[in-house]
Amino acid sequence: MSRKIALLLFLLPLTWGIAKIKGPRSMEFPARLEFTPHQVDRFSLSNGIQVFFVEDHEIPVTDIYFLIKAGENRVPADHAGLADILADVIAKGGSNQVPKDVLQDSLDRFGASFTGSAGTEQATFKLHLLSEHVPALLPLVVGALRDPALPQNQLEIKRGKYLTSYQGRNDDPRSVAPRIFYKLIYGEDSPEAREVTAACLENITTEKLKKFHQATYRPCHIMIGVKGDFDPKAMLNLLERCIGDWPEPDEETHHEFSLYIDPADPGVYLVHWPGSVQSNIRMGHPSLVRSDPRYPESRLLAEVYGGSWYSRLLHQIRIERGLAYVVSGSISTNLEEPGVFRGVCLTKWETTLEAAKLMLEIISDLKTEGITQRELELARSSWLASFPAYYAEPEDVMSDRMNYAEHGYPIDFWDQLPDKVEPLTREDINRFAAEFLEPEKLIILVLGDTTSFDGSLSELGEVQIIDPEVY
Amino acid sequence: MKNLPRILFAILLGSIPLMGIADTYTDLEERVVEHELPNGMRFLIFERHDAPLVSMVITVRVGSVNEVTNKTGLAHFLEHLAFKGTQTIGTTNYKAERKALKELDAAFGAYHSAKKQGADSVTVVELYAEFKQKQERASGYVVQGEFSEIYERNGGSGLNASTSCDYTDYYLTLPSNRFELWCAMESDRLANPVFRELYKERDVIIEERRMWIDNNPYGLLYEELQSIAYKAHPYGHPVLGHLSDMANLSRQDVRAFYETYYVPQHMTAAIVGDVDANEVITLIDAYFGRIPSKPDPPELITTEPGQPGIRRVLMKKGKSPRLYMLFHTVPAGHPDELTLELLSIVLISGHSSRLYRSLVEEDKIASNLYLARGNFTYGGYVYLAGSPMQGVSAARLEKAVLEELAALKENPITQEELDAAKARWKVWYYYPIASNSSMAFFLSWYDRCKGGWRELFDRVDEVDKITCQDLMDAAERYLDPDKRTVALMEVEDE
Repeated sequence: MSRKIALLLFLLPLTWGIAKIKGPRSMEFPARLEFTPHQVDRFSLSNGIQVFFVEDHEIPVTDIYFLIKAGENRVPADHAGLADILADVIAKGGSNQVPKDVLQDSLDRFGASFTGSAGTEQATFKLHLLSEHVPALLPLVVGALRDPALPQNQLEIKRGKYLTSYQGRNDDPRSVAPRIFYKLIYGEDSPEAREVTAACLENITTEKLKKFHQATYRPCHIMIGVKGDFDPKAMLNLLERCIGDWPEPDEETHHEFSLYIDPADPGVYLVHWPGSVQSNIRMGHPSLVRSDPRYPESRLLAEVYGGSWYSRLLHQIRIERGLAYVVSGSISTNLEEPGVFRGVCLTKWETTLEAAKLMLEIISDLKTEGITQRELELARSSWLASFPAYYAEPEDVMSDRMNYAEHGYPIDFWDQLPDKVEPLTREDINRFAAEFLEPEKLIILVLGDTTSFDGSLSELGEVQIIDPEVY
Repeated sequence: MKNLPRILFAILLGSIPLMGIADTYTDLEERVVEHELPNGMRFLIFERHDAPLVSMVITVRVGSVNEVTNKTGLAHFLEHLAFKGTQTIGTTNYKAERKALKELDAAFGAYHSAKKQGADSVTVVELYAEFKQKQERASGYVVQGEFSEIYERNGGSGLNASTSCDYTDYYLTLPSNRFELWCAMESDRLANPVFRELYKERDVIIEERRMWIDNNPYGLLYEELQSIAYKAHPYGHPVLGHLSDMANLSRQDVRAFYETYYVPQHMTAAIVGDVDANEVITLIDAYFGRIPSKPDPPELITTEPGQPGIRRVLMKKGKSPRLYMLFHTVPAGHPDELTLELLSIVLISGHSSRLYRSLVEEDKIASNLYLARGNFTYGGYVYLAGSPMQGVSAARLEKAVLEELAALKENPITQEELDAAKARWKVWYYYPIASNSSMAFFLSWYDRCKGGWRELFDRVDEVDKITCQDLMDAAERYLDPDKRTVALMEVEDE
């Protein structure tokens, strides 16, 4: 006995500082973590331009973003691509004071980059550089934004790139399926789905670019975000000098087009793709505007539907049956118009019908039976615990603040969500699922080689054939 | 007069000195805490307290390079199966499950052999039914998806893994108060993995291959390029594996591969975020210290012989021509690696770069040009991908690229070009440390697959020593047009 005690006394010091091993199943943590997002400061320049700063002094790099309400939703369908081409030509083409080659050589000299592109709602420019070069380079890029040279050569290059891309639009089935799906959902002429065709490119001239620039690149449409290693006071002074004196013109601005322009009827659509060894299945219908009071419910339903490893789509189609590598579902939202509720699955031809039917069953079950208490607890716990990851980087917080400010939402819209998600009950989610999910309004698209399917697509409903060469 | 504004700006900008960024890197380097366990597993910890999050990456030095004929795709398959759980996670009764898995594999073996040997259809159908029945029985013990579910319930984000030719990474970001959960989960899966649900997951990886390669013309073209670039070395086979091999990989194959190559002395974990390094080390010792030591894996003997001439493949498909061009260079950690990075920038990065200015802006031959370097353990490459402009063939773009490379001799790289390349390199070089997850990735990768993690920080001192002549020498040595490997996609015949 005494020898055992002696041994224990001998071993005891060895165990000091050694953590006790626990099993993952027995570990418990508080549901929410105290968390303060990175601080973002907001200012106004003399001409009303809103400026957002988030400091990060660990590395001597600064990123300056210009967000301008000059997106494709301000361009008519027969000029599709104009907003994006303008942004690209501005970023590459210099200003009437500083020609293209000087701008590009100056950026290259310091390893800086200045890029521009336009999406549906806005044009985005980003200047990325070592902090010490901001005073030299910022005035040059602001000059390009205010008074762009718009050289014909840059327009030709961008036009050529679009034509090249259009030419190969049907080469890769993975890009054909989403292109057609979003055209069906939003409508062929929607700024969210339409294509930049040769006819559109013919319509886009330097004069048209100039006109669009004059109408949309104006202080009331601009927000600036600065992230990185900078002195806020000096940066504010520099911005004031560079861009704060840009006067607001008097003319009317372009109106915005809706995202939804004549969408297709619900139903089954087929793209026959001879030789394809994998089918691409997509289904969906319009979803919510983010300001919808049921947005918190939609977050948890999306988790259970297809947004996690434990979701029904992943669990039943990939984990239980091994039918797919890619299978997912989401409920996206836009800030001013509905987003898309959608499901995606890529599976071999001989399980096309099996997978499509499973996807439909999952949607139908969620509508009629709802989620289980276990699913609710899992989704809630997962969503709340991962909340800080949404704001992992300083620019995540800044871009969020800018986005919500631009669309008239409370600037801390996202920060308020945990308090709204935490008390949700199973009944809340199921009430929402029953209202929101509309299987009869689904647009179902299948792209694949029909000769090898495990049945006829007509089992899902009347099938309409789409020719990707003309759609 | 036309060039006056340009000259004035050049003078103005030229007066601003290029900064030295080495100090920042020295500060960062000093913040990395290094820890090695007796079993040889290494840990790199970097505290960063901006947000209550911690990102972790485990790099295992194993990849498709360690595979042999008949067993391609094994490293990637193992990576998938590593999410199926352990002896305590993902099961209701491991002892009974182990027995059921043995019976299942025997049933599959019988079915597979009968089919292969051309047994009569009744026998094959009966054996298949037996296999499905055994599969059903084994499934009865499985708690499906429990491994990933535990992480997700605890706010895990970015949960995933990836396999390359040289290494396999497992990564995750967690709320920082749950760091111990990661220790428990990862040490368990590294020490006690159970490769359950194998036959279903094999179907999943085959779907993955279909998506990336078989149903994707550019994936196929790249696979062709890879296969002709190597005649001896296993770098020539695809990471995902050949379909015929993938369809036959067994649990025994996976287990043997795991036992041989998942050795702690070939693993590094990087932990970056809101943690205390001392507390982290205490937990690491307790959890990862239980992984047993193992012998070193066998060394790869095969080396790729020098390329005696041009290798090329031509595919005709679709309406978008594409050019892939590859030159063999140096293994990871070789002193010329950095020179090749600068040479790549001079050639193709930024609007003033040679290929961009000539082929995109002036001649409008290329729509897009992209140049990457493969920094691999046993030999790297420089790889150029280009999309010709509408109406231009891939062969025409290839000719134009070769002309530009040849022009280097007549128009050597200038000091101005080199300075610009160094400036761009330095701005880019902050990318790896900008976020927790990327820093964790680069730390563990440099530590396990390159010349050690310190190289991530030390290279900044080396870059300033490189001269124009170094770049010219590297261009001559490595970008030899007579030793290029080319894959062309041309427009399909009507």
